[in-house]
Amino acid sequence: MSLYEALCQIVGEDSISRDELDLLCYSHDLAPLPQELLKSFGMLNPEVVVRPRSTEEVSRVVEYANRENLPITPWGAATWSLGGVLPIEGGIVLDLSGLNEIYEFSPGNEYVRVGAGLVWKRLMDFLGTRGFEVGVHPTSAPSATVGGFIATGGGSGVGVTQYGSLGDQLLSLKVVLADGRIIDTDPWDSWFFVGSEGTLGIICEVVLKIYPKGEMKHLMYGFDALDHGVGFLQFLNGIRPHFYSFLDEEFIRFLNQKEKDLPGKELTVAVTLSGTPEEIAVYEKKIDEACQGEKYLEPLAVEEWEERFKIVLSLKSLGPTFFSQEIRIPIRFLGKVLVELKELLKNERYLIEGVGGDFGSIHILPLIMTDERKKSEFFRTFSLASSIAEIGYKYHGSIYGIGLYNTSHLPRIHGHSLNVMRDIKHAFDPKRILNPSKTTQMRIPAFLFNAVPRMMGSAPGLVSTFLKAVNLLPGRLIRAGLRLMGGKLR
Amino acid sequence: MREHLVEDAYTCASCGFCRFGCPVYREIGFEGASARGRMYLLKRVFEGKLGYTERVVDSFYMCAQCQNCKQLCPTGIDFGEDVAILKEMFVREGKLPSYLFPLRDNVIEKGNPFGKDAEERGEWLPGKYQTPEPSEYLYFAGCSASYASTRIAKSIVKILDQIEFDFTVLGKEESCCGSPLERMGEITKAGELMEKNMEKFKELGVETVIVSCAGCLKTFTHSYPKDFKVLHVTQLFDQLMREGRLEFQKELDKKVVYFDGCDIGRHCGIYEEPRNILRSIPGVKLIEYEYSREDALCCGGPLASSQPDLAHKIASSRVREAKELGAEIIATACPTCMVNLKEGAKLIQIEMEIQDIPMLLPKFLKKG
Ligand SMILES: Cc1cc2nc3c(=O)[nH]c(=O)nc-3n(C[C@H](O)[C@H](O)[C@H](O)COP(=O)(O)OP(=O)(O)OC[C@H]3O[C@@H](n4cnc5c(N)ncnc54)[C@H](O)[C@@H]3O)c2cc1C
Ligand code: SF4
Ligand code: SF4
Repeated sequence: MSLYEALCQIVGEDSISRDELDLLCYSHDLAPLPQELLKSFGMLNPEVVVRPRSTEEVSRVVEYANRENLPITPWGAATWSLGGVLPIEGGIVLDLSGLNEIYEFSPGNEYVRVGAGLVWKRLMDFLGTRGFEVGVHPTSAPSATVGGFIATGGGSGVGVTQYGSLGDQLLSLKVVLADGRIIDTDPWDSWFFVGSEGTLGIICEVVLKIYPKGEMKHLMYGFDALDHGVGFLQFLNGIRPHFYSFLDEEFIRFLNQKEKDLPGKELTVAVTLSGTPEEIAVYEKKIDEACQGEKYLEPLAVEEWEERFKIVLSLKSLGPTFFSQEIRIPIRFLGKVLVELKELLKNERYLIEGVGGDFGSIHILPLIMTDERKKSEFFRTFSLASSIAEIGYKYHGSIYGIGLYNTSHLPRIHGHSLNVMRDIKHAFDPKRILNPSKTTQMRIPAFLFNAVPRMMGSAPGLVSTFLKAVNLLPGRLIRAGLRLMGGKLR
Repeated sequence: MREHLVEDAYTCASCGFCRFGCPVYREIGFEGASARGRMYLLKRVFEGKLGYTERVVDSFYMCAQCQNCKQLCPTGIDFGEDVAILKEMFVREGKLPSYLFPLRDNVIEKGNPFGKDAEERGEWLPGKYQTPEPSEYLYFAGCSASYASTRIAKSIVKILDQIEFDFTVLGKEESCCGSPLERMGEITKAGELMEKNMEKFKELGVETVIVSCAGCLKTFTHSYPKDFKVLHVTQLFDQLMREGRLEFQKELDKKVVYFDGCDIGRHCGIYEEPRNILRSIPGVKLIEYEYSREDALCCGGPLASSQPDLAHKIASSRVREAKELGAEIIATACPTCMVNLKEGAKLIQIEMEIQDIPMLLPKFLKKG
């Protein structure tokens, strides 16, 4: 029986696709990485895409894959940009968007039980009309799935500064393990799967804490002096509002190119408070007192809030390509990190956004504008990812997320505990079928990965030519080469 | 044109926001059926890695051009518009999918998508309206109401006649407004039909064209020269109600949900008038879809002539949603939506009354 037939028996014909166009569409994610680069990673194409409708179906698909030793790549909505959903070892793409039901809504006990493929916006709309809300959501809520946000860590997003990360909101998960077993977790062992990036199990069902809908108030402030703005953000971090974020001067300049008319301050800070009207009033007063900059009128703040999903991407056409590397740093170093980032990027077209994170951290997202069609320009920009990460490490921070593209940073991030991480992976998934070559395995030998960005920075044209040449080689040869040099391929 | 497509393909952020309200993606479930998926295919085409093969062309013809995705796209891409540009190009290059040939030939040769004779077009008209006469107002019945859903047209003529509203109808001399041709990319041929209709309007000195089909409404407002005013019948009725010329008396003690069709809603911005009419019928409890007005989900109607199975499946989801809301009647303002939703209900065997607004009205009309 062929793979297709076997899977048809499990999920039915309507839930499986091997259409050539679908397979193409499932071989990319948000990152604008040129196909040449992916091919030089030895990327294979998926054989089928399966879109199961229940946890049982997921379990049977995974059990089958395990038996046949086939790689499985979980796919939420592919809004993460680190290559996590790329089916780099071929095999099966498991599109989880079919697990999109709201099974249970319990206002009395304040939880919902939902399918992991449910889109955040759908859940938020559903709860909103019933007087409830989620504690935390990503700003990709119009498309990202509940399971995808769990798998990528859920440590940065709206609500995190008030309620803690998404991991704190999980009451239970139903997870399919690599051999097809279905387990239910309690709030504590749910943490195994938070940030596991699809490598330890397939999250299928989620019991999530919810909250009665509170009042909200949106505030916005502008600062001419960087240190006043930074001090203000550090103050905000201490009082834990619902959400706070900042945009740098460049960001505002680009927004103003796009039909906005915002004051061109060094730092622009947006804050959202949530609670009873009395609580909000007390907090607003405190915040106003701490502000050494200018407070903007409320409609501006409300507008910024309402556009929170769209605002960054609305600038996309100015690129047309964005390249970014998100870093998470302790907020006490914010000022120094911003100064170094600005120095690093001074010859680029860039903008910086920051969002309050969990554990007193702040996530910094420098977006560099480039054009993926101009290969050498793009590679030069790409090479900056490592330098941005270095700034993060220097100030006791780290990059946020590993996926495929950041695997070369593994030793740097985990140090000696990397082996422990690999042992955990081995215990969960001895055959390495779940999202292989991601998160704990370095696909590209480290020395190569460290040399290439450096080359990209100084001689992008050469890299471009080199990749073109590599792309002329058959995929099998590329993979054999990587393996010879010490790359961990399946 | 091509530049615009290239720009969109590279501006697309692959964020997938467009998937949320896409009727086709929701039904099929695989990435290739979403605007994001197709934007990616376009990019591959511009990189020279993919050609406009039959499969690729087909995939663009699967878009209902409902514009829900335009609402959600943070980068401002109007994917439905991109599809229109592509279809026009496909037609120019002789790549129109063959399953659309019969529809195209019918419209071009017979002036309607059903392949019926022009003679039959005005058959349902009461004697008084059989021959078109000069008038300020013209009711343009459109193909669906002229042939398939004649009850809509009959109801409208009956109501207007009863309140002594002065108007005329083209009847046999009416031709398709051009919408089906325009939708498939046959722009030149659509233009020929438009000229034919325009001539008639001029002959009769028409200043306002009243339409009952949302597809006609969109075509008249977007593609015809702006030489005359266009009113959807729900707009006219709403106006007449406000002037006190139209009133409803009999009770309709039912839960009614209004279905925002894309052509009348997102494309023409008419949301309130149909609701006003429904609300004015005594007893009606008007309820709303979870996603309505600008956010309304398409019924798949535009695909009904090319991919009926898909269109009916999409429609059945809209019917199911209405049922879950507790609706007893789905009221539409477009015959295409009405017919397609009925097919959808049939497909999943749900009992549901689905009526175009004009059809609901005559029996509630307050006499004299
Ligand atoms: C405009 C925009 C705003 C964003 N804002 C935020 C933000 O505020 N905070 C933030 O953290 N990120 C943000 N992101 C990044 C991204 O959207 C989030 O990480 C998101 O939660 C990913 O969800 P997804 O469903 O798209 O997952 P995908 O991208 O599909 O998958 C991500 C990873 O998780 C795995 N995975 C997905 N679903 C499952 C599952 N059910 N079980 C096991 N593994 C799974 C995949 O294999 C992959 O490795 C943003 C992105 C965009 C485009
Ligand atoms: S126009 Fe409608 S059918 Fe076409 S891609 Fe957008 S949402 Fe889907
Ligand atoms: S919403 Fe717009 S930018 Fe995002 S994937 Fe769809 S078309 Fe592209």
